[in-house]
Amino acid sequence: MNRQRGALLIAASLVLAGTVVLHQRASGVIQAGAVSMMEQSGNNALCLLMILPAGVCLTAIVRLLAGIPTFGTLAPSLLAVGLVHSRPIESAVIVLVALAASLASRAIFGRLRMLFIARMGLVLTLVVATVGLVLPLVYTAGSSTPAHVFLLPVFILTMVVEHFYVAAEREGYKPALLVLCATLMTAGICLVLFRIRVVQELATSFPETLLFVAAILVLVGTYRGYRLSELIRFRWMGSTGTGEDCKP
Amino acid sequence: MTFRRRQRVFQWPWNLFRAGVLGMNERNLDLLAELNTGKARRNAGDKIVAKSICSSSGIAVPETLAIIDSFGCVDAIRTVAAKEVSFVLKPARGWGGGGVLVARNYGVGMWTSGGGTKISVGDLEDHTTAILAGTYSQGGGFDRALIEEFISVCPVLTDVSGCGSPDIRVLICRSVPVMAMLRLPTMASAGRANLHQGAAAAGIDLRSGRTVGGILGGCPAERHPDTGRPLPGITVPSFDVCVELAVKAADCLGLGYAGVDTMVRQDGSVVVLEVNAQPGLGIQLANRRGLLLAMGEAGLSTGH
Repeated sequence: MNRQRGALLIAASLVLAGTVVLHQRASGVIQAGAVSMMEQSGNNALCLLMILPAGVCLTAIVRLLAGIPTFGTLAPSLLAVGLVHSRPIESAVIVLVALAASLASRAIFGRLRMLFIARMGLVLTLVVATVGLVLPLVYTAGSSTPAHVFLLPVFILTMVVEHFYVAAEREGYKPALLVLCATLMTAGICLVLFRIRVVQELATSFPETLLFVAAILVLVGTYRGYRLSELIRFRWMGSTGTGEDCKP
Repeated sequence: MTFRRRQRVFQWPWNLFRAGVLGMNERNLDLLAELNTGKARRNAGDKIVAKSICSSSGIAVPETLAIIDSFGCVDAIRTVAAKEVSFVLKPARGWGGGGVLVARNYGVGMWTSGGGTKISVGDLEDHTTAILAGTYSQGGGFDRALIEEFISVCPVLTDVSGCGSPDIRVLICRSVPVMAMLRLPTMASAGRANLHQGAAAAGIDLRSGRTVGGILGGCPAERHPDTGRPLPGITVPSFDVCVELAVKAADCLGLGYAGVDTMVRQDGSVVVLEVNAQPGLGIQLANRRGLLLAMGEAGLSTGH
């Protein structure tokens, strides 16, 4: 109970600190760092970096409050960050191609009984080869997205597919497929969040908002109530606990 | 317009709280992080280490036939296989029953897995290689393969499940037995006793040793799906020994919160199969009771 109070205190002080700095900076009291990061907004990498914690925070909420599992904690937000600057149709094409290529090559080489690292390398090689074949088609179709944008998604998807196959071998294809879908959906939600102009500008021009994200993470990390999925899983557990609500 | 509630879709959180249901977040924060230290968890996570600690404290464990710890030794499985016995091949650091292969012998060089498919010596070698490569292990990385004797479970329990080896999971909190359940494999779970793989389960009343409640696939069930035998009302043989050994095993590994899997042999003696440092929450469904409630009744303070 004490720890819960401590977490609340930390979250509150983070929010307070964030608000104070934000207010001081907005009213021009703090001059240091007055050159807003927006002026360097040509620096896309910085924007992507600053926005990443919001995605991780969202993934934490999905996993710990909603109880929806994903492959990897960072994978959904990294995938979304990778796709944030490409157009929706292109990102969909590249995700589908990379996913299909890695699923297929993993299915083929999974039978070879290779060691993890070499297998990952082999699958990645094949995925890159496939993407290399598809990219010229994307460009002839009139795309102007720079090719380095596809670097991160391809790598992340290969990792996710490796996780998928390990889970499938352990627990069967159906549950693994569900988690794969949940991972892609979470990445989709992160992508929507990242594409909101206000969110981008808040993250780059006002780094203080990171303190708010940290506060949310502290609260989520110390939440000990039920997850949404548990309200469904334990739906048979009645209010009395004697099992009278348990009749199907 | 009339509403007819056909099937419950969800339960309100305050009802779950009143029923004393333990949630995943609370388990992780209040029980695992508080009661299971890193070293105890590491020891329990490696079956070979846990086994040697348990047996040195005088707890009965299944006999080890072989340990394979490098790719060069994979053909050691042929020496075991030459003996023409049934055995169990498992990863030392596996979790949730992943990678456990129950090989039942039915002739020279011929085995069937728990699911009934035929397996050859080559398949056994492939599986051992996959185990060593860390396919089934927590956090990946290299692992060791453990080959244990096959345990013939007493017929009272196997008659109910029809296939596989039923086991008894006892949940221990601060050296006090809190809840227990009988896990019964099904054809759908391919002979495995893990609930998420489709096994049936019934809670066990700690005082009488008789089963109560019952679940299958997360829903309440009254009968075993294959044999049609009722899940409640089974008297578990040697149940008091199971509980006693479970408490001892959790204590000697230093785990404050543990799910101990035990098996009852045909002659009624009990072995400890595995000590789980992160036991799942499904035992509440099997017992149809909340864990926090049970802990309170067992005299443990839960802050509930």
